[in-house]
Amino acid sequence: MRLPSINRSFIVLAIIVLLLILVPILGSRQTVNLVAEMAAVLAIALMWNLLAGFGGMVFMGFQVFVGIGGYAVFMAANGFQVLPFPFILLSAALCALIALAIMPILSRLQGVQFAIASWVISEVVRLSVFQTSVLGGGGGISLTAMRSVPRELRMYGTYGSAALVLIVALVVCVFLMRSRVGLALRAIRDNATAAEAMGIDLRRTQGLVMMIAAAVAGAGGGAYYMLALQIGPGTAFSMNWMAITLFVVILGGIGTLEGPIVGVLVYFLLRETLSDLGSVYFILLGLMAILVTLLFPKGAWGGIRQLIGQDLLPIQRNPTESRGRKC
Amino acid sequence: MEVLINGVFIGALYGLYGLGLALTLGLMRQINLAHGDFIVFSAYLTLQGSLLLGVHPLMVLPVVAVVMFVVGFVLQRLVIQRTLGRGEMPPILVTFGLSIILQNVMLELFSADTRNLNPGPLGAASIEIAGLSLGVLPLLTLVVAFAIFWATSAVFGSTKFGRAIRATSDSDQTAQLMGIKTSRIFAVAMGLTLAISAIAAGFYGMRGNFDPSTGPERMLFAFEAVILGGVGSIWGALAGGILLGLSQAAGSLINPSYGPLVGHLVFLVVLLALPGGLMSLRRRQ
Repeated sequence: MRLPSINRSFIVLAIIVLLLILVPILGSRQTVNLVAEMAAVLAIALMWNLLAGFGGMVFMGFQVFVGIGGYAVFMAANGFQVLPFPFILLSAALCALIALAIMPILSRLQGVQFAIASWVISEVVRLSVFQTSVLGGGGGISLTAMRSVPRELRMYGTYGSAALVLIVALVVCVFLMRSRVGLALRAIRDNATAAEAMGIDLRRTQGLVMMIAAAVAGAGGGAYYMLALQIGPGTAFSMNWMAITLFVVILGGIGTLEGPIVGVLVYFLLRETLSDLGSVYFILLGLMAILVTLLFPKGAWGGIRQLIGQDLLPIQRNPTESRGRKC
Repeated sequence: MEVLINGVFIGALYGLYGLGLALTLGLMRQINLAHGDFIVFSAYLTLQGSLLLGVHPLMVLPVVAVVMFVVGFVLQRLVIQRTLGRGEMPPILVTFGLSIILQNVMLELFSADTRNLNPGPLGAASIEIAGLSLGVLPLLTLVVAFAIFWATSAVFGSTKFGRAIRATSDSDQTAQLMGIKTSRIFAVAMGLTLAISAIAAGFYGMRGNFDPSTGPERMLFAFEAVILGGVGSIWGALAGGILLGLSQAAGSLINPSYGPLVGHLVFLVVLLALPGGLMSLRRRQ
């Protein structure tokens, strides 16, 4: 049975939302925390995939938004000594502004240069935070505002924030990629000159998508560090964020919406079973990323898609579909 | 003053890091994100070699360079070559994976302790020039850097191999039609890249400390040197490296820990104001 693709997207999104609601009702404390972490990581990976996979902008300094998002929540909640949860909105707004601010540098770069320049920007922020004593310097800060919060509220509030960010990330991806902006974005990735000739405003399209991706990733970072309760420049702006994101996106299937979802499940399965191996575990992750890129560029989702024969979150425009609806 | 002169010396080292990167960037329009990790790996190889044989690190360096040439050649042939022609993303992803693997392999083999190469009496030796006392080791670094740059530009300018490389860099498809085996050129270039980096690594290890996690920063410095100088220019990488070294030295004058930060900022400003790098200034005149 093939439903019209937009309906299929709604059904799959509804199932994911339902699962996210069921987790805190049925799951143990450990499960709830693990799923919260997965949700935050997945939201970040989806946004990186939006930039790199759909937009061709290989943003290698994506941890900058994760870190800034985390610091924004910590500083605001600690400053006012109130519940930190609403401040993920502040993280989102701040990261969108920063994306806007770095656009002049990045907008005329491509490929490798874009990748390294974004990495350098992240390093600038990391080193600056390291030197800023208000932000805790090299030692970082802990979320003192959370101390007076009862355990239950802390757990459910954090979970709710992370789940909400994930739902927003998914909805943004589906709607954005089905919209004219999404179409323009992929056109630019495939051939920038041709896209511009068709009347697409390159800077505006890429800038808009970068601001959206930064905002959601920032909120994801805020949710993640609420769970961690502790933030420092070494971890928040670490390349490890890039390693995790790349692994989730590549293994699942870059340039698809379902890919990162599959990828995050695989990543956490491996982490929960193999992370005792320490550096050998990271060697395995690196090897898998290389092998998948070389041999299965469509990732795990590519294989699954071939088996079930349809997209679960379809974003392709299908001319026959609209004709079908008229009948 | 001495801080700034030191900046020039360190800059020459960055230029050397960048020279290898400039080769592959100009040729394949791609970089190896594991470039810095290969530098650190070469430093460890030099350290192990000199400890094992009980000789000065500089004696081991040529052997390490040859080993790294072979590593680069094989790596290009077996892995990186497969990613070319499939867009910009696969090489970035694959070499980033390589970087993670190398860092953790080094962690396994050599532990997380910071190490350095013992320069022996060479480290403390200094000579007096125009009232300034200059270390022999930094001067040697500068001389070696100039020699390597000179040799590279001579090879590029006036040998058959250099012509083949330049032709491949202009258009690899046309070069292929003219009978140049481009995949072989790429492999030799990657071998040279790693060999040059290995020599730079020896001097890096004698000047400062390294540990398995210091690679990515080397890669950023190398890339910044190339972009500051201007992509596609050999001497540009040296000029860019020295500008970067000077910026870092100037930054560390303000506050000892500001060096890398100021270097990065100068890079971003130049990227914004002068996208073609320093060498584009000369071309414009």
